[in-house]
Amino acid sequence: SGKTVTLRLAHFFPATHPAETVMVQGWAQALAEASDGRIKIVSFPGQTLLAASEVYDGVVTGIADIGLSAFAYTRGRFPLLEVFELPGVTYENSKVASQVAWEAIKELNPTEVRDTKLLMVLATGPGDLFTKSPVRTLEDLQGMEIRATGLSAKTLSVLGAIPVAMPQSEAYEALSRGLVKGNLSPLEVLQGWRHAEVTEYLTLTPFLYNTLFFVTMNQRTWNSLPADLQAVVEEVSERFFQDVAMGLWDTQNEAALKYAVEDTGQQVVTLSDEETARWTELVLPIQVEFVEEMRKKGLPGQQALDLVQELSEKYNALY
Amino acid sequence: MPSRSTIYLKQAEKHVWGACKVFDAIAGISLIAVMLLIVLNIILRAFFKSPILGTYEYVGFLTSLTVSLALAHCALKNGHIAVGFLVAKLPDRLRAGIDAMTNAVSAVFFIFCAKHMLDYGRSFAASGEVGLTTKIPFYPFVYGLAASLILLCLVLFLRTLEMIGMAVRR
Amino acid sequence: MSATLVGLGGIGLFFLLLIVRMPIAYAMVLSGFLGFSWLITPEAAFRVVSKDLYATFSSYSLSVIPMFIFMGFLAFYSGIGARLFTFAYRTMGHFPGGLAIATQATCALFGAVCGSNTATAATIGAIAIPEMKKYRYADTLSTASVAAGGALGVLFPPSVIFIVYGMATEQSIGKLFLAGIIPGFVLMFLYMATIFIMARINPALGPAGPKFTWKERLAALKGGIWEVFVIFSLSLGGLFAGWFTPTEAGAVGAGGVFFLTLIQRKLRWEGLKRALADSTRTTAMIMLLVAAAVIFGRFMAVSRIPFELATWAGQLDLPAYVVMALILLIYLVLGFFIDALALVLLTIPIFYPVVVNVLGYDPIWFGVIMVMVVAMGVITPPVGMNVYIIKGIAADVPLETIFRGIWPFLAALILCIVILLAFPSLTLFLPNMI
Ligand code: NA
Ligand code: NA
Repeated sequence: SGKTVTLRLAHFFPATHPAETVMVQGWAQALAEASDGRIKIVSFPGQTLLAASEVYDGVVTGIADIGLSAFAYTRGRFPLLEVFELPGVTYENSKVASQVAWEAIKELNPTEVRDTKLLMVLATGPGDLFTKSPVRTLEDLQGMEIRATGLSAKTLSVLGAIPVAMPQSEAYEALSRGLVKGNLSPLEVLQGWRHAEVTEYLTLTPFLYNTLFFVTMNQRTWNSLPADLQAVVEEVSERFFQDVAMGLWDTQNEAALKYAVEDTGQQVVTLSDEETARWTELVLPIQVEFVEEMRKKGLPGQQALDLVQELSEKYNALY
Repeated sequence: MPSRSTIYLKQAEKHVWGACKVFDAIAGISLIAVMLLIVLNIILRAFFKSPILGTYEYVGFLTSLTVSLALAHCALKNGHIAVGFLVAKLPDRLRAGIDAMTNAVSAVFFIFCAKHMLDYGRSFAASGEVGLTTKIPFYPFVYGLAASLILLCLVLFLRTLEMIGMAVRR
Repeated sequence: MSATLVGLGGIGLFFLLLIVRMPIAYAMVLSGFLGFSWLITPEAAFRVVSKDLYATFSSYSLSVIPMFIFMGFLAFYSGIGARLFTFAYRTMGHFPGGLAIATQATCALFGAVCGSNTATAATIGAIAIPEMKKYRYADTLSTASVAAGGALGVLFPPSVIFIVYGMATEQSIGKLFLAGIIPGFVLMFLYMATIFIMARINPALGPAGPKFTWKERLAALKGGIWEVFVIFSLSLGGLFAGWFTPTEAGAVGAGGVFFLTLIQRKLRWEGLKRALADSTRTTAMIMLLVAAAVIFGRFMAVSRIPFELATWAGQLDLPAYVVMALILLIYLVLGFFIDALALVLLTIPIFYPVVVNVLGYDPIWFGVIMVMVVAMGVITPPVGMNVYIIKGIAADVPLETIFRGIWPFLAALILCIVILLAFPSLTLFLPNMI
């Protein structure tokens, strides 16, 4: 056996968040076991090494060897990958969304992520609207300030809401002060970031939102690993993706929904089919716009969108 | 009669101080702009239900200008505080010598920082990263910070020369 | 060389640079950079410096600092602060140290609407310190009392530290906010008592003035004070009512004072220019320090020193209160060197499980203790953010003088922590009601 490799992993989740306790620690342990202790991961949670929006660049420049963050935090840097966050595509759960994204990325092999060694992607699954006053129809949403970033800001604005951009970590205070009246995010945020304390209603909108997280490694670090360790990392990551990572947010979302409804009395609103159709009609032009923008950049936007639609149908039926 | 080098030094000081003042004035204007923007946004939000989209990001951009552009002027006015009591009791010339050294080290360090700040701005320009809502690119503001660091270096460099002058003066 | 050793070396270098009178912010960035370079690479270290400088300067949350600073300087240069303090002086000035006592009440009042320790110290300091100087208060008392009083800004809700703690530990932020209120009053009264006793023993610290009649007191309120009252209530009331974020409240306050004094011609062009120049200078100084502390914190994180320390403390086979006292001692020592917010973020992942799961203390209670610990860190030398800020405002007072004045207030803080340790119900009574 060769010498031990110590790798710094940076992410923004709190140290007590399952992204650290289940995902990062679980993966680190699996790597240590599979490599007879030759791979050691030292985790820096809670933005202690890199802020959320700086993780990818920090991995490219070697501040961290490995980074975990969301593509959407650096708007413009991953144009083609916005396809996974487009509204109008329904993902039943995070398993579906993760599987679709990982498979599509392997097939598309986008240039924008080739400057690092991508190890895993995982999705949060559907995003829902949690609000201070009930949203049952489009009319209820008009002029309402909702926290949203990146693409979902555009989605909310075509629906008639007023998107307000801010990081998840600042949304609690904004909600508690009424600066924003709601948040479009995965259910997990209700518990993980305590937003159930400051909102009363929950409108289920599985066609509006998806966020994709990445786990990626510095290219030089990857190249410096001996071939047997590279094999271990690829194999363990693939297995860990299937067994734990791709469905991680589902467990979280379920627990958060239970907590929000039972402990804080959150009221759940399900949109009627008719209402859902009205919303979907409004957001579909965003897909068209995406394809047009990719065409201008010379990127295969249509191909990516078709692939995502095909795969999401396939896996919605499967999981 | 002042030597030629002293005249050049005085000229350089005049230009650098002038630049510091201009930068600081823009910083002040940015500060007022932040204030006005936020107040206007509140009024539009409260009375017309149509806030300025991306206020959150504009405030960030303008605040970065306020802070960056004020750095050099702050250094000029000795606004960046130090723990002075340990060298205060030393003889004047020794103290000037020490100050020359710390200023020189700081100047050299910050010139490297400025260079890397430029690289950072260039990487933003290359990756096409923009504000989440406003889609305004980051790199001009990063370049602004780099320029401010260069000006800060000039201030520190001139102060180094001044301190060397005091240390070797008979 | 082990990472811990490099970390200690970096701390040593930082002190060396302070000794040779390098500005504190430069020293923090430079030693943080060198340590990070050693442990990782110079390229990565330069990128850390670039990122943290830009990210700090362009942060919306931190833009609250320039807003409240500008508001303070506007109020100062237009003479509004002076009139407010004339009222305070005529009301409380006949007590020994009365104006400093009144300042503590002002800090608490302002803290009830501002979430930041440093912003509270900056705002109240810009108004109160020049006034106390005018009434011949000793520099040690006037500067140190405001630096320490900033802690009331984070104990009374809203509070940045509580929010960060709640996020990091998944505790209810609402409960944390409530938990801070009674300890806030306890600390305020301890500070007031400290000032009163000190001024009683040494009247030169805060000379007692003549006693004024209520007619005279109210007379001091005339001449535009009511408009200011309206602006303050709009800014602070709007924050309470949930109309504004803290930054917005700062902008409303600054904007209100700005327009009012402009219309009433209390603020001339010259005054505005000076208020702006003072605001940009102070803002640059504070924000560079905040960024520098973040950069140094990154170095500390990769040196694993906080982690090693906490692991060691968690393994001790001693009674809970002894370990707790040890942990507090570690915080006191780390707080000498590391910025408050960085300290909380670095150590919570390590100490929180020890304190809550191993020692069995209440997590909400520990959140309040965390804020108290931060309050100590920001006033203790050589790295004490509040003291630096006060130094920025009172440029003519040497840093050492301020730090000299700090000790009685540090004692009051420690006494307050002991009280909270002995009577957990003081902290937990309010949050347990909901
Ligand atoms: Na507060
Ligand atoms: Na300290």
